[in-house]
Amino acid sequence: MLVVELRKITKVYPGGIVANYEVDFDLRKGEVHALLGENGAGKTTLMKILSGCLKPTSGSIYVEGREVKFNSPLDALKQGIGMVHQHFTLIPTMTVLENLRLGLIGQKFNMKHTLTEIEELSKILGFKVKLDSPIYALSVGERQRIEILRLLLSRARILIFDEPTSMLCGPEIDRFLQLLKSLSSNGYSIVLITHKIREAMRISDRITIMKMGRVITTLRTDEIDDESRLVELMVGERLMPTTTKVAPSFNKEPLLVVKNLVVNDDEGLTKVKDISFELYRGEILGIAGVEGNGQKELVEAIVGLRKPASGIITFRGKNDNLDGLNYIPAERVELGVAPTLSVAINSVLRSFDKEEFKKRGNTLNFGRINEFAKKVVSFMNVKTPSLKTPVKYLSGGNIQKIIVGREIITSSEILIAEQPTAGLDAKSAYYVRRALSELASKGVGILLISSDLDEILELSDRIAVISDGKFTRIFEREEADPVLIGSYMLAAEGAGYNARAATSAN
Amino acid sequence: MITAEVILGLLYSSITLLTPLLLAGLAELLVERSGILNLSLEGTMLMGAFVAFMVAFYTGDLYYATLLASIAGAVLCLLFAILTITLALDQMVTGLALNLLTIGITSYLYRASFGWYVSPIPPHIQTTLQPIEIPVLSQILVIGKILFSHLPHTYAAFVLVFLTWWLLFKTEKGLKIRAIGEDPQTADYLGINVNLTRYALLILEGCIAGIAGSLLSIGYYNMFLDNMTQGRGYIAIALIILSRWNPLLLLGGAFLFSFIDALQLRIQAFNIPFLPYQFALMLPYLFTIVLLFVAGRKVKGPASLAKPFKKLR
Repeated sequence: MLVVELRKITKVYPGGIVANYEVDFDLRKGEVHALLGENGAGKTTLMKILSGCLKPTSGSIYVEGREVKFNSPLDALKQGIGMVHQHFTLIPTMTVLENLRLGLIGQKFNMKHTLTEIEELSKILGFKVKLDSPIYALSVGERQRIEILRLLLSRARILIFDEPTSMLCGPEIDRFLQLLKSLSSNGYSIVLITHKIREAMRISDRITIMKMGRVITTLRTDEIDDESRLVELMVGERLMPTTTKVAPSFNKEPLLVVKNLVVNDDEGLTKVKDISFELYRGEILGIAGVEGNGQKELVEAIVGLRKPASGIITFRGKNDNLDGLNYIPAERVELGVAPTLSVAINSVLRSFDKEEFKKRGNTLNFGRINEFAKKVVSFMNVKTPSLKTPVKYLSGGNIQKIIVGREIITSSEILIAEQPTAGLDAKSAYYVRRALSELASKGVGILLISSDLDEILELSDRIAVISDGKFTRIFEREEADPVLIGSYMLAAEGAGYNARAATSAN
Repeated sequence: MITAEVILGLLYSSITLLTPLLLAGLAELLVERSGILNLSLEGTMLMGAFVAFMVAFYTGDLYYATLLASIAGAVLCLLFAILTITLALDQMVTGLALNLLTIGITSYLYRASFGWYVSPIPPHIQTTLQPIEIPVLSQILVIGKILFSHLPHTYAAFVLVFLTWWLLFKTEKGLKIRAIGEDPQTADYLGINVNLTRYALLILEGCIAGIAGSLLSIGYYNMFLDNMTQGRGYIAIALIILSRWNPLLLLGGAFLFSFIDALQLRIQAFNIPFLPYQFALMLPYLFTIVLLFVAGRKVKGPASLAKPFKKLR
């Protein structure tokens, strides 16, 4: 039975960009339907139309056979359609209960009734809800579950997830995919927007592939026997499966030494608890861990954004000489670019005071700057109308490419790469990984922080697992194994969860 | 000498001075919780003081004076709302501009009505608002006189402290207001009417701030003076920061400020040698700055405060 049918949906954005062109899509009751495609293929646009966030330029939407028109997300929710966006729609300073309550605006509200409903739903979902804790104190995974709970509370039967695993890591991803399974077996119909093929293969009943605003095909997952065919359909060419990396030289020269580092967050909570390590020339040191276990504060302390409570950080023997340190921040718009400035200026944002970008009289040499920007744009294949375009008009993936490109090109000693491939499509992510390993072969020491465990395993020479602000273990490349790493990631959590995660990962 | 009499008087006038600050502060607190920073609070109070005086002067009716002060305040805040919500202009600049405008308009209209001459006694009204003694309660020893022999506005202000707190933290309306103040985009997504709520709160603020201002010209004094609010609107805004946008704490902050204000009036009256009265006049403001420095440094307000909001759809 079809619960949703989209017919000939076309969406043209005000700027004239065609995001969807005559797209047909349908969803069966109780299925998990993966919507697979590269960045900018039009997956999110299509689903934003289905969830009432955007209005289609033309085309029609049918819910259980009846044609519907949505003017707002609330209209769609009234028809039982809810979406979990990449950027959560929770209010961080408010408690879980208050946020849940906000999802019930406009409905009759009875606290007692709602509380029992929350309890029943959280049994189905398999997690405990801490109703009184503020959202900011929760991990990304927990926040995501609250979003889901809120949709279920407001009677959504059709759930759309936009890249739900992109901010989760190892065990949390497994846990999330389990959750999707139990939702679909409880009669919920699910659309999973993703660019991860493995994930789509693992969880979905059907896969629809989109490319450049059109649907390429819809396949039954159990009839697909070769994943690389999906890649071909998505990308249009075969990619090399893994990167090759030259082993680091034996000369173990430490570039970065961190000793007994303790760092507090804004609220005064100790987030990094006595961490010590060394980063050697030519190695990639991966840091794996569940989001919120101190990675952010550790990096902030190293790059000088946050003052450590105690401990020593030295760069090539010096204390505060940040020359030769490059940084790819996770919060790309906040920390990586000046959104209203051009692509060209943003390409040299961290190096414009160098001699090569100056003319006599200390003015900027725009010729050189544009030259450099061109290099960044072609190196990373950034899609931009021109070098003069303000970066805020580019997509998130393209902004990320500018930052990654400029940092990689200028890296000479140490590179701190925080989620370098988050939000990038498969092809770009592949180029970034290849560039990182090439950089290491040239002798740059790279600290890689990523929630993508596969990425860490692929690139790192050593893998440090962080949990509750401590390195629970540092693995050598040979001894690393995802299940083992997963259990060390959760070392600080309850033993029961620990064991469950380890078994479900198998 | 410092006697019991003096201390009682000091406390009594603290509560009197507290009233306009608290009224205006509570109204602005609600508005700020929805993410709007309305600096024109100062001008709104001044307009209230002016309109109340003019109506009282020509009709002699203090009820009409209060009502019209309230309407005038609402109109001014409505203008602020149109400029900052519908036209999405910068809230700070708009607020300051409106304040300068009100200072000019009130002084001009005052002179247009009474002429330019400076008589030894400026125009004044015959009767002012009178305190109401609450039966029984006002007979309680010591406290009775201090707390229960005030203008009705004072009682209303105290009740409003708890009403505002209850509205913000215990009702669905309050939840919506706070959600808008934290993240209007999300609030809109969840189906809350952001602009309508902000309009409604601003008009409510205008009504209350107009009345708060009227207290000065027809309650405590019997005349209107140029710029007679003397920054009380700004002080109210500073006190909101100190109180971390919490009505209950605002009561405390407003009381502290008013106490210092009442104290400085007495310091002036005592005529202490070597202490010029200007120094005393400065004390409450100095106190505010010091307090902001000590307690207001790490305070985070509503996340969307003073940021213009445009629907994305």
